[in-house]
Amino acid sequence: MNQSPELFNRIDDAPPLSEAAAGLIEVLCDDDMEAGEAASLLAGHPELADSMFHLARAIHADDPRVESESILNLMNQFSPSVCLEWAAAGAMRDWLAQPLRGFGMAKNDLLVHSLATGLGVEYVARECGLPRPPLAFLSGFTHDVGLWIGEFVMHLDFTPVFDLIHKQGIAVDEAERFVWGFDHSQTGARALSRWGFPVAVCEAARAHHQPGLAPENLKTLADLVHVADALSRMAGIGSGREGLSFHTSSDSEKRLGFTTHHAEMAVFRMHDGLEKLSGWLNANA
Amino acid sequence: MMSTIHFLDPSRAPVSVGISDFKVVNQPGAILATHSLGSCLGVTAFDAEAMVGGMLHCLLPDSKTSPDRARQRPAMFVDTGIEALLNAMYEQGAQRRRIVIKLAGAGQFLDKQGHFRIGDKNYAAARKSLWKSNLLIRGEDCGGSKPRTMYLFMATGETWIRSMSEEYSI
Repeated sequence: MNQSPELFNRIDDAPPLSEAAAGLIEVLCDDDMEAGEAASLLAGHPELADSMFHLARAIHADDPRVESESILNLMNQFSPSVCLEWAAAGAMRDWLAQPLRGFGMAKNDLLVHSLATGLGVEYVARECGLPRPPLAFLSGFTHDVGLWIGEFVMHLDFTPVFDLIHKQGIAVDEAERFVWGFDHSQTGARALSRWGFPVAVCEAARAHHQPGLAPENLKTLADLVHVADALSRMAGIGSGREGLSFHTSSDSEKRLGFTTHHAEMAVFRMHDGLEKLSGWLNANA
Repeated sequence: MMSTIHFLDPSRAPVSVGISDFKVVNQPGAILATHSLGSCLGVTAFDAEAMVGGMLHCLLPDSKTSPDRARQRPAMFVDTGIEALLNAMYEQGAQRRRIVIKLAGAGQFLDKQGHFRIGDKNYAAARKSLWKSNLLIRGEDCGGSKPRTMYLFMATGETWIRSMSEEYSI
């Protein structure tokens, strides 16, 4: 089906990020930023600071630097791009925690899937002997934000999509493109771009079901997000009515040197990593 | 059998079995349930005479992935999970010769190639573990790409699957 511009343009109704989060993302994306700018932005927003602090300690639980007592101390010890990950994920937590009735996802399901995928990007890279790409966690965390956009901003009817999946055995993104002319990867990428996220994060979301479409310089990141997303779904972490109705990219597996052993180890680490994040998740319950 | 889970009493919440977890119960009215079976494997075991039932939700096939973790949390792996489930049932009076085993899950993505084959490996590990324990699989709903929720009704010993808009016993 051809894309309906009117339908697609509903993304523009997406709410803005909170002023503090948007400001923080802008500051942290700026190569010339000074720590004081970020600190002053956080000063009036203890909830965001608290969320960032707990997320940082959970994600980097094995890193001695997370023993710091405050988010500002942590931010002084990690790179701006890592701090950006905490800020953006902290800002989006409440949105992604909402139940997605169209997708059959209960409260927190999308949030848990997002966290698992964010952690998974790093674990898969480690298992495959690759360096952690910049914005690894955030790219995994935000990859499915298009599902949230479809439900809460675009108010899409998912019934015909699931009818197609069940009757014809096709993948979720294929069914979405057939019904609406676009899929949740595209809507997510556009929303992320509007919110001022770095290009790498937007492109990883856009390519997470078709990693071969990612720009050459971001292909490894897209491959990692694709594989981490697949592992999270396989493990039943935050999955909905779609089950395993997805294609996996053998090209991604080849480019990463990914094996079944890597899959098992990454799933194992993902499960353990989520347990460390249970405090952050429960704070949202 | 296509039907509905007509005896799922909305006033009685099922006992939920999470990922890498197992539970054993001996109350005749209890219902055990596990959700989101993708490539994970769900196992039910039921001894009608002892009125002991159990459910297991395993993530990975082989405890060699992390022997330490397997000691802390045996249900994470199929091999140690089945052993732990059966031992817990024996402690409550179940006997091997009366136990009825059923399996569900072990799903796959749409593509049959590649390295995302944990579902197949989970299924193979379960068959091997059960064979070593001299137990037959009496029913199963494994493979494919659909999501599954698995129930064990202690009142009847039946195992039911809810998947998409269908509900059926195995």
